[in-house]
Amino acid sequence: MTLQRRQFIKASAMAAAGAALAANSDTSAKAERAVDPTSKSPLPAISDVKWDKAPCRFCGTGCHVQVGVKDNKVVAIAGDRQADVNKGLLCVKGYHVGLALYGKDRLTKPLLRRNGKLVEITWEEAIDTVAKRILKSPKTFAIYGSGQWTVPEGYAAQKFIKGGLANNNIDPNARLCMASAVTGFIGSFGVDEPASCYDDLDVCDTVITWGNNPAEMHPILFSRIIDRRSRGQKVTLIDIGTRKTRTTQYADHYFEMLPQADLALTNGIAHLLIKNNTYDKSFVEKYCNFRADADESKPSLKGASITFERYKEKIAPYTPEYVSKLSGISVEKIKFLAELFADPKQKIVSLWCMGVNQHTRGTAVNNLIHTIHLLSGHFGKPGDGPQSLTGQPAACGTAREVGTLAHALPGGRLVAKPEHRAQCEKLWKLPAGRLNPKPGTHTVLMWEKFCTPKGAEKNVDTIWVQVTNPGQTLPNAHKLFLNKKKQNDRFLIVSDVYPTATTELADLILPAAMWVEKNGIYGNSERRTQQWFKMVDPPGDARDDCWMTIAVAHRLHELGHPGMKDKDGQFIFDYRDANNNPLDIWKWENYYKTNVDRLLYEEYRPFTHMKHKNVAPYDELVKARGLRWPVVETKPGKWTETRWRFTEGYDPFVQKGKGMQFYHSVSDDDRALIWFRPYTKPPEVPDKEFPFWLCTGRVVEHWHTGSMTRRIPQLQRAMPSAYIEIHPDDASSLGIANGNTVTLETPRGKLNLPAWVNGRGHPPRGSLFVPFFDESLPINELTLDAHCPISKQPDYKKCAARISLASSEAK
Amino acid sequence: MMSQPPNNPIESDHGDPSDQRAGFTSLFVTLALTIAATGYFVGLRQESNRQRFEPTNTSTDNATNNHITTGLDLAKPYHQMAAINTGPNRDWKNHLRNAVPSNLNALQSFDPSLRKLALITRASTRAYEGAPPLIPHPIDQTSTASCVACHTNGKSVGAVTAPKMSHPLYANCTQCHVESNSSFSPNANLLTDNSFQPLRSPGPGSRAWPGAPPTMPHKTWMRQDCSSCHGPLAQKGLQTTHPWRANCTQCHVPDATLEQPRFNPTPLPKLR
Repeated sequence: MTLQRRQFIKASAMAAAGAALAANSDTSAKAERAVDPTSKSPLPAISDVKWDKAPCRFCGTGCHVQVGVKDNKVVAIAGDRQADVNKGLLCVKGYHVGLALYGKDRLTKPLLRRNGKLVEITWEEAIDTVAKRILKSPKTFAIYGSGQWTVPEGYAAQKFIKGGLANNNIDPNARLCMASAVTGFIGSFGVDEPASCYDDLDVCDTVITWGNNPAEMHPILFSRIIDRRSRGQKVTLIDIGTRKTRTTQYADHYFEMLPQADLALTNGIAHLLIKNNTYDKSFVEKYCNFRADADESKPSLKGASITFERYKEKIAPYTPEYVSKLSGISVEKIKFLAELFADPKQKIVSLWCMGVNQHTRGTAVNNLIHTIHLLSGHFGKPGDGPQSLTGQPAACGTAREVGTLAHALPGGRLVAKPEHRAQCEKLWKLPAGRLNPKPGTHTVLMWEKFCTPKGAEKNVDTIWVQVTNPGQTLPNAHKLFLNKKKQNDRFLIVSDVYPTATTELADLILPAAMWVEKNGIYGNSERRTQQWFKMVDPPGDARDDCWMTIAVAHRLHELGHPGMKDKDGQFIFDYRDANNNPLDIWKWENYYKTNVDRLLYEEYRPFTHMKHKNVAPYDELVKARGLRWPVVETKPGKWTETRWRFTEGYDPFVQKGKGMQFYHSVSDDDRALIWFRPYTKPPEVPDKEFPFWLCTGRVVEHWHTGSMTRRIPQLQRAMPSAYIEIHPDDASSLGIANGNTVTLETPRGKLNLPAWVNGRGHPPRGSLFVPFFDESLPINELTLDAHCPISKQPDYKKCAARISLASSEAK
Repeated sequence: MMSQPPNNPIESDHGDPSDQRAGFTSLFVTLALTIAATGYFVGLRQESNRQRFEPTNTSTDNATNNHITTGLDLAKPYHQMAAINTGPNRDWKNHLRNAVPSNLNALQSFDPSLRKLALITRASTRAYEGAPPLIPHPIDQTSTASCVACHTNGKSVGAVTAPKMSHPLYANCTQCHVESNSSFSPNANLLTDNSFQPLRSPGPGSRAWPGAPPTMPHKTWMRQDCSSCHGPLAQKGLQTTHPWRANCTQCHVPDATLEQPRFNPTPLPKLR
């Protein structure tokens, strides 16, 4: 009896273990070795592990992790308990971030394509190849970077191309991600980036997610809100979207709207606030002006001033009935939202990300969300205000603050403004007039030119891609990327860590160091600048992106390009030690003899003062888990961060007695702008031929194009491929069952995908969803390249499509 | 409140023809005993498959009531997290005592082969020591209520055990825990191998002398409830041999070098 029972227990334990082992045979082999005391090579034990801080490599939330290192390898990750953002918690991507370094197919050698084949070359040859290609035609060269560039990497690229080559053809993938948020902030407040911060999430009463699924995309922030409920606090979640997601399951209210109806709904809320006289009169009178475009068919960033009376007239047509017709949201629900904003006692946070930004009227929707917060006075108090979220770890820190955009210069400056150019020339010690006043090509235009046959005089013929994967993320990829194949005179240089859709067409591949294989600085969605140190060596000959830029600049200097000299004839990246000995950082063997990040960052720091975005000194960042700018020295040696910008008592730049001061106001009077932006139709609407809406997006397991997360076994097994979400009724009427292969088509392309009915997300009837992480199912060959006229950000969230059961499934 | 496990303690292994152990030297026995003793309190199998709580999506008031009646350990406010005591058995909310079936009155003995099996199983469900465990079964994609149903207090049905959560109730389970194999396409192959060499085992806790209570070999963050991995529902090789002793930290101390923030040891005064 006893024996039987024991055997049963053992047998069942064995069976359970066996099942687990079968599922994860490679992991369990390692596991067995690790726990078997007879094993010859035990895996690292905790006592030998050294730990250090770093911000997570993935999204824009900006969690800190503790990285466990042994024998020059990352062996473990822990949430950093001293980090304000995440307090020791992480999401599943963050817990597995260390594995992103160890995919077997890391790029370790520079590779040049010769006669269609990639051959190994030396770094000297690689750097020389890039330099000579640029020298041949500096004006048709472009850099395509990203919001994953560290601050010094972006800064070096910016200084090299704009300061050195006098060429403004530099744009980041952030153009595809948060360009509309930037123009939204600039249009409403005169200066980019959120005034609020994550602390709001701990004290707000209501959170509105606008086309946003933070349960999967910003899980740490989402938990920060939702976990309050398990402590007995009341926090109301209102999910406004075009599809039910994991966020919806926690929502108290789900308002399903038709694509593009965010334009109508926000105006509808404003209409009721005015009509019911429930807007915040004192806030509006003290702190706001009104704005609209003089010609509404030509939307502009700054528009023209209008009177309150004129605003009332413009908003008058947006009655609940009209908005209900446009949005599909009932009149009662629209009134409910207006009443919510009318309640001065409620503390309301709006969260949004790609649903609002990837929009042909992205700037407008951003302005309109700010508008309803300003109009109702739900702004600038703890727990009360709009918070735009970003998807990349330095979309704010690098792309936005360093200004690695075709029209921008560091610190919120513009290439078109003579005084801004002059300031940069002075800080960079360049001869006056060096900087080019004409904005370069933005992302969509850059790639369109690159993929278009010669003829247009100002074509881009060489692009250097760093830290991103445009082959998978550019919309309408046939037109904007794959057409490169047909242009023999084009040269694509790609710095990356793994083979991607972009390296597929690369002529030169440069193996890059990533994350804790190099020093770095990121900046997250709440203005927090974060620093880390190199902890392990990169594999093979992989090197820092920042070094590559400086090395190419130096080679150009040697080849005699005059722009690589400053006004005193010195190389533009000439740095000296305390005894004035040259550090020669363009030589790889010297690169880590000094802290190049610190040198470049401290050179960059004064640029941030003009727009009062004072970032903290490097040495302060070393001590902190990130600091939110503006960071000012309140006492000698004591640096203080800012939680709520523009609000007296929090923001050191607000004058005493002002209460709220928008000190970079578009209207130059310390006031923010309440915008009228009209509803306009989407760029492409389902019709008879293409009767479905198609939306694209992300999943919790994978980050962006999956080039890192798809090499992490735990994440890849959990989400092995892209899929298409279909409403069960649509599926049944088309004879599609779960798992069937479906052919999805838009006017731009065609793709076969497995159908997932009642799966992760739940689209309404007539609507489809496909995630974009899967390189082998490239959904962006089908998406639209129509973009916002102001921000130039494309709309990945709505286009017309049709589906059918794939012919391979035909019975 | 909770179902009973097949709860007779495992008896000693005399006479078991287990070939796994045959021929092991006394060194291994010593090692095994060390690991065994470590495990009875602390062990390594911590968070296996535990999930979190979903507050109802309709009424927060109900959610509040649920928590109070279940007496569950709740997520802490972010601004307090740095300061709270997260150690095991830190207060009256620990349920080890309540979880002990009433008929446990004999000292449980330890079986090294089960211990080994438990550690292998445990390691196979996570990327490294300290990583959130993967979910070894298909999940409902959009309902964390279904996680909480089994993992709040743990549950055992036949040979299948749903471990109890080892940490407070965070609301969004799938933030950290994903399926070990996608239930949507379970047969998908990995695209590339990954050469990550994980931190696997923190190793046995230290002991002052054979028979002394071992220190905890792992951090306590997210492992506040010892019973999750060492209670009666835990894997056999990791269960405590003395489940009636409820105050774990009376005898077993955490190791400060494994916790955050890490303090540098301060020197003792010297004789001068």
